[in-house]
Amino acid sequence: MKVGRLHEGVAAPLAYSIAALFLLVPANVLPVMYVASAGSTPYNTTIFSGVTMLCRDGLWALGAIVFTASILVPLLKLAGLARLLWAVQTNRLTNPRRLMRIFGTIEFIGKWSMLDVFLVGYLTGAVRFGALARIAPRDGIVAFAGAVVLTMLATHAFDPRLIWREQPKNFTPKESI
Amino acid sequence: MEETTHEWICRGCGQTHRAVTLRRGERARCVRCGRNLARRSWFGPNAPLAFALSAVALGIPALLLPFVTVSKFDNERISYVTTGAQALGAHNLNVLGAWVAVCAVLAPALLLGFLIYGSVAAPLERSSAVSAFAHRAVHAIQEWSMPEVHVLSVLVAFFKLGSLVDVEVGPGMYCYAASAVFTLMAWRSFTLDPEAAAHSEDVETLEGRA
Repeated sequence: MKVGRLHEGVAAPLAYSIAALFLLVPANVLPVMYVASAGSTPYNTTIFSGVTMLCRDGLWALGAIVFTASILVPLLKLAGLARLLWAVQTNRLTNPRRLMRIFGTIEFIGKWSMLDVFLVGYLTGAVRFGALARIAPRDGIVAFAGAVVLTMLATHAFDPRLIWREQPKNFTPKESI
Repeated sequence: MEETTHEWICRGCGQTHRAVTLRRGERARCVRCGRNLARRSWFGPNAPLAFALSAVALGIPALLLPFVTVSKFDNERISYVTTGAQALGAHNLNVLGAWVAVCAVLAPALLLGFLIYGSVAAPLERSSAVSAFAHRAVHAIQEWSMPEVHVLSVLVAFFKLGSLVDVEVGPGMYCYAASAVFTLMAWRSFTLDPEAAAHSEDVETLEGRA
């Protein structure tokens, strides 16, 4: 089987993206937080169960925010990066403006995935009442934070100018800016 | 629009543009990829410095005053902006705790430092190298500065905690949120306002190469 050589600008973001994809599995499967409160059974929550609990309590808007930031955004980022890397690697750069919009979106939404990491950290620090109530972080949050950092590094490592390499260097617009 | 001798190089596609003098509120986009090249702030060339100083002024009480007070059966616990990072460290998640501290406190503080440095030192020294350095530092740090995400996470936490404990917002939280808004405004007006980078002919060129 002939294996094509990776484009120079693709290798680093691809490596970060694959590592992030692998980390997203334990991040979503393992518990991210342990909650214990007097009078109720202690329980572990995953990212997804945290969202469903918010929705069950009637906090739909917050559930939607957490779902978007913690589940949708990392997946969208990876899908967007995959689309960009595939386009650059296979030289299918026919619609560079659209690819640029994808890159801009990935860049913009990147940091919002940190929401759950801050949330777990904050809850752990705020709720420390011994036997009365206690919240503790679990391994899933470490994997999730790792995945977030890796997707951000992948975006950072991608050079958007690669999208434009097939376009003429001295582009002259019909209209002035 | 009046043309100047400066050049703007798009950070998205590398297209070179002859810089133009923008009116207040006006923005210039790359002719090739459509990315924002420059935008003249409504607030004038001193806006980044004013916003950054306001953010610092609010950031100090945000660090010192109580963020949130949580209570359960007469037991009260006051948390500060760094409580989350410290708590993660206390659970042997030192790297994660350090990372949270970097994104929530250290990176915003560094960002403000470079914004002030870029706004004050570059015009004083009339050096394009100083300004270029400040712009590159601001761009590099901004990505990891997340006070706005931290504020949102604390707001989500209020609702999550509602059924478990009693929560009271402290003055530190208001100061931190306001500081985050001013930091964002300072960054936006610093990186895109051509007047703020008036003494840096090669700022955009260097950024384009970065």
